[in-house]
Amino acid sequence: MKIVVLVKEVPDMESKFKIVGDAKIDESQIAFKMNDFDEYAVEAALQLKEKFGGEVVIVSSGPDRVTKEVRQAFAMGADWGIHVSDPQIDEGDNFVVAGALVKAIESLGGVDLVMTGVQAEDDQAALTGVFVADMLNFSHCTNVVKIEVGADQKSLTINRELEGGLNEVLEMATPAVLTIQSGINQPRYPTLPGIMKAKKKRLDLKKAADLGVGAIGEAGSKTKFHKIFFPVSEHKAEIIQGDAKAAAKTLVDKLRNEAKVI
Amino acid sequence: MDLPLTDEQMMIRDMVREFAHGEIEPYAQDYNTRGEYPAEILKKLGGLGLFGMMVPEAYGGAAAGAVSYSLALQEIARACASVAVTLSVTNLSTEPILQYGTEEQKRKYLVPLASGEHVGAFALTEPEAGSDPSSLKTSAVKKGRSYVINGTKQFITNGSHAGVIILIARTSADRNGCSAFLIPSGAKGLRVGKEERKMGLLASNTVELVFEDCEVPAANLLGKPGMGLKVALGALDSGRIGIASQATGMIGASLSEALSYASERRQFGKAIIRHQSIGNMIADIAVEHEAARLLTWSAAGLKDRGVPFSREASIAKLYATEAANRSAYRALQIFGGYGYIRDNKIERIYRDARVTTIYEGTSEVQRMVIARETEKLA
Repeated sequence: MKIVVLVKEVPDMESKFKIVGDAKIDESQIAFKMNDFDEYAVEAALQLKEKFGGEVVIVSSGPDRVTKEVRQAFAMGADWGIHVSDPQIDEGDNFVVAGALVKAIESLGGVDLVMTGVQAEDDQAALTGVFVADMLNFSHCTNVVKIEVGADQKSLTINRELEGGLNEVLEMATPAVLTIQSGINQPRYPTLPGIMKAKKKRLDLKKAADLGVGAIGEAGSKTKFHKIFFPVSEHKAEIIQGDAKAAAKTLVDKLRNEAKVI
Repeated sequence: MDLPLTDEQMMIRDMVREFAHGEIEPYAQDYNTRGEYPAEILKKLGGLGLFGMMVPEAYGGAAAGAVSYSLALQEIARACASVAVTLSVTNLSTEPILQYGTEEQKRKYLVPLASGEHVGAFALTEPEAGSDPSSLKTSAVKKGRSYVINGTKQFITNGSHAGVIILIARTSADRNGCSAFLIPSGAKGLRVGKEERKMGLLASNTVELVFEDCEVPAANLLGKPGMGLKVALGALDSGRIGIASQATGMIGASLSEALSYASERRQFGKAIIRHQSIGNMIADIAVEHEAARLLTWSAAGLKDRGVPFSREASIAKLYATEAANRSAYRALQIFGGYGYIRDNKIERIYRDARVTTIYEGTSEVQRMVIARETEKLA
C-alpha cells in the first residue's frame, strides 16, 4: 500500500504564548513538536506497511524547522517525504495549506490512503483532513480508532469514535482519507538505528510554484484572523451563610430566579 | 546550557528522555524496593538499540557514538541508576569485542549484544585484585585446543543475566601474563555464586562468578595471549565515560527533586528556596550539574573524534561521581526528615550515588591516571 501521512508541527503546550499585534503569536519563545494526533497517524500507517508492504510517505507544510518532525517520522520508520516549504503557503489559512498538501499528494501519482491526525493540538480546527479528501475527491472518515484492511487491500472496515463511548463501523473503499483519533495505538519510540538512518532518507523540498499551487497567502484564504486574545476569566462566587435550612432555601431561590437554571 | 549537539544526538536524547519518563520512572522505585532486575525495561531498551550504541551497523549496532551514548545514559540514570549501570556495562563489553575480536567472534558475540538479545558482563575484579588488576589469580591453562579456567570473580555486574562474559584471566606467571576470553553464559564449569546484598543500585545484578575447571575453546581467546590487561584498561577508559554519564544524570535527578521540593515546601511563611541557605544548596547542585555535563561531553567528544581520551574520561568520572555524592547529600538535606524515608527518590539516589566513586576505578585510581597523563603533557 502507498500511504501518505500528513504531519503538522505544533507548539509544545508547555511553551509561553505571547501575542504580538492583533492576530500573531510570538514564535521565538515556543518549542515545537509533532502534533500528537499525527504521531498516531504515522504509527497506524507503519503498522499497515508492516502488514501489507508498500511505503509510507510523509508530507508536511511549514518553515524549515518542520524537518525535525519529518525526520522524527523517518526515525519511526517512514520511507521518505515531501516538505512543502513556502512562506506564501504558511501565510494562508487551512484551506491554502490543504490545497498545497493536495498538490504534493497528487505529485505522487496515485496513493491508497492518506492519513492524518483528527485535528491539530494548536488550532483544533479539524479541517485539513476533510479539505484534503474533498479536494482529492476521495471518500473519507474522521475520528478513526480502528482500521482493518480487506484481503484485496482495497476495502476498509473502519471504527469511528462517537460521543458517549460509542463506536460506529463503516465500510469504505480506497483511495480514502482517514483522520486518526487518539487511542488507536501507542506510537513507537524511534530506535537508535532508525534515528541514525533518518538523516539519510529522501526529503524533497517543494515551493508553491513547483507544485502549481494557485491559492496562496491571504488572497487564497477563505478565512482571515482578526484577533487572538487570552479570554479574561471571571471569578464569581458567593458563599451563603446561615443555618442549613435557610441557606438551602436561599440557594434554591437564587438558582431559580437569578441564575435561572432550575 | 545548551551543548552544541547534532540533530541525531538531540533526537536520541529526546527519545531516551521520553522513554525514561514513560517507561522507567514510574516503575523504578518498585524495582528497587523489591531488589528486582528490571528485565522488561531492559528488553525494551535492547530493542531500541541501546545495548550497542557504539557498534557499527554491520554488527547490528547504531554507531551513534560516545556523545549520544553519554546523553542517553544521563537520561536513564535520572530515572534509575540501576538501569543505567546495567546498560553501561553492556555497552562496555561490546568495545573489546569490536576492537580485538575476530570476524567470527564479532558475528557470534557482538551481534546478539548489539541487537539487544542479552546484556553483557565484564569480569576483571577478584577478591584480592581490585585497583591492582595485575595481581589477579584466576588462571586459564592451555590444554590442547582449549583453555581450562579456575578462579573466582567478584562484584560482577549483570553476572546472572549476561549472554557473554568478558573474562580476564592469568595465562602465565609474569605480571603481564593476563589474557582476555569470551565466556558464553552456561559454559560448563561456570557457576554464578552469591548475589551481593548491596547498599544501593538494588535493581542491578551483582554476583560472584566461580570458574571450576571451566573449559572453553582456544577460539574464545579475545586478542592475543598476554593482552588481557590492555583489553581491560581500554574497556575501563570507555566505561569511565559511562559512569561519568550515570553520575551526571543522578546529579540532574538530585537537582530536579530538590528544586521542586524547595519550591513547594513552605517554612517561616515562604517557600524554602527563598531562604538563602537552601537557595545556595540548589545553586551548588546546579553548578556541579553543568560542570559534570561539560566534562563528560568533552571526554565523549574526544572519543568520537578518535583521539586519546583517558585523561579526560578520568577527570569526568572523578568529578561527576564525587559531585553526585555531594549533590545527593545536599538534596537530601533540603528534604529534611522526608529525605531520610524509604520510598523517597532522593533516599535512593543518595545510596545509589555512593558506589560511583568506587567502581570502574576508585577516585584514588582516577587521580593516579590523571596525574600520570598530566605528567605526560608537560
